[in-house]
Amino acid sequence: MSRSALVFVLLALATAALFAADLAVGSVALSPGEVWGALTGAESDSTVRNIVLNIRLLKAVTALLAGAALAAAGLQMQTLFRNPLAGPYVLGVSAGASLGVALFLLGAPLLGIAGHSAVRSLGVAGAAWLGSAAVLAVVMAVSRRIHDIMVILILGIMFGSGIGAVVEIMQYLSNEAALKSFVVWTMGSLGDVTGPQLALLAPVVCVGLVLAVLVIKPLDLLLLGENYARTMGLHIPRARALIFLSTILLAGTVTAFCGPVGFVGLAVPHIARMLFRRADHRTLMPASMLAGASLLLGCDLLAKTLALPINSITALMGIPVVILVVVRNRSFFG
Amino acid sequence: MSISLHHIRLAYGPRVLLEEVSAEIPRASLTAFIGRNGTGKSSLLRVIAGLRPAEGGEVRLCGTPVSALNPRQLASTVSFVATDKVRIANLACEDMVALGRAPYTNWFGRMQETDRAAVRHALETVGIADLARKPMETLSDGECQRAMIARALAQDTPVILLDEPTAFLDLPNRYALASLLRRLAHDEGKCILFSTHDLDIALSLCDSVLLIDTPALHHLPAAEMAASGLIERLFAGAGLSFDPLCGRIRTDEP
Repeated sequence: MSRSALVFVLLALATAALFAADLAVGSVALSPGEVWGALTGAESDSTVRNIVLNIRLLKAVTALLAGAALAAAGLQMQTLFRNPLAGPYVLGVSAGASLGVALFLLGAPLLGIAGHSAVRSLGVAGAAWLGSAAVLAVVMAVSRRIHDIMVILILGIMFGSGIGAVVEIMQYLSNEAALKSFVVWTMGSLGDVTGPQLALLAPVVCVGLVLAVLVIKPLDLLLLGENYARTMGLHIPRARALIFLSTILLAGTVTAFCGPVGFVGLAVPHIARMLFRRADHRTLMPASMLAGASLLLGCDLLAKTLALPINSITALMGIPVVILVVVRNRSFFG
Repeated sequence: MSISLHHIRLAYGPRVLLEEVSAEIPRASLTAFIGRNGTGKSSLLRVIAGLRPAEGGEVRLCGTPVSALNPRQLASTVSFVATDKVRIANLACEDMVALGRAPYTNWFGRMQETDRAAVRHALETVGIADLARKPMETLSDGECQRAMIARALAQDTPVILLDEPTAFLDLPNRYALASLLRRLAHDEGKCILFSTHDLDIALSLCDSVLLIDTPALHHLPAAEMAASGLIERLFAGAGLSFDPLCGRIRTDEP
């Protein structure tokens, strides 16, 4: 078996093991038998069934999808911008999604659009897509004029801070009920995703992941830069549009329902590169998805056992990877 | 003709680089493209490669206007080797060369036996078959340049354009690379056009020379170019003179 195949098998096993562990661990102590029984429908205790199916399974599936989504989005942005430090969080795409959600949650009551829960889920998701699309368009426009990794990064950070300030002003101006629903959203985590929300999140993220697989060949060509990609027959506007759409669906949707989860998108593609020592996206795309899923499942396990917010844990795990990349690969894409 | 330029007008902002220039470059020939910095060599190469439009006129590749070719057709007609160094971590040399097969592979980039054979042939032709599994970031400048040429070969196009392929190389590597291009042009019937500042290579190893004398473009066989007096004009006023007999540049003694 080749090295890549072996690492893939190990990574898939790790993901499966972490998924199982995420189901087994929680604030209520349940035996593996009880968990299995609830999953197969053999368990008679409705409380146990409720805990396993409506809380733990929901959360584990969300972690799996969100991890794969953020990692796939990060990999696409790193290749598209030819920037090892690109990612949905760093480039301000998550902040753009937050702004969209803030505008919706704080602005909708002012316009008298009352919140039916299904309308609200769709509104939050739509607002996040629009917000992330807007930020991505601006970052892309600037990066085409300025070919400097650091400029793009600083721009993303400025976006994040600027949007934070705008959101604070909006909070100040909005009424109590709207403010409360927004603050609850900002603290949002994997556990707050409800069944109906997952019914929207799962298919949209799956579409984004399918698009991410469809752009594997364009991403490989973009490794050499847009000029080379064009001379090798890539239709650049079409490829860029697909990559954008995929990133918006993946990062925007996850941010809409799980809140801003930092550093997964940035760090995981590098973890995949270190594990596989390859640069082609036929390897890196599935590798990043698997590594992202297992990382977020692992973070969720830690969050549960230590009772910490998941955003803090992903940041603590992601930051060393970022520092390593900065120190080791100062000229990553030459 | 592999490359036909018809009344090309090229401008950079308000500055006119080329005015109504025409040239015909046949297949199975190696052509050097010379001219001072900033006179539009790279721009014209980019126009021929279909990377940017000209301000006027028409480029035809193997008889078809560049503007009429879709991206895939263009990619199977002309390949391009740019000046920027490609040093992507973890990307094996042969995987980089395999990207040249993109116009012929399916949506997923799946390599068929013919594609793998083309990559092998390209690596052998440029003499780096033993480096196939080495990551790009570990190659020397000369090896890297050869790998990029192998990628252009794997793309299997009648026309190959190179922008200053000898720029980062030492003297023996410059001659080795130019000889390789000459061999490819003559043995494989390619039309190869490369920009360069190496006057002696242009005059001794190439079949013809394309020279920018703003806003004109001259295209002459190498021997005629040396005797034409155009090269002297290129360096006029720079304190240099050209000796057409030995094909060398001399500094003017005060």
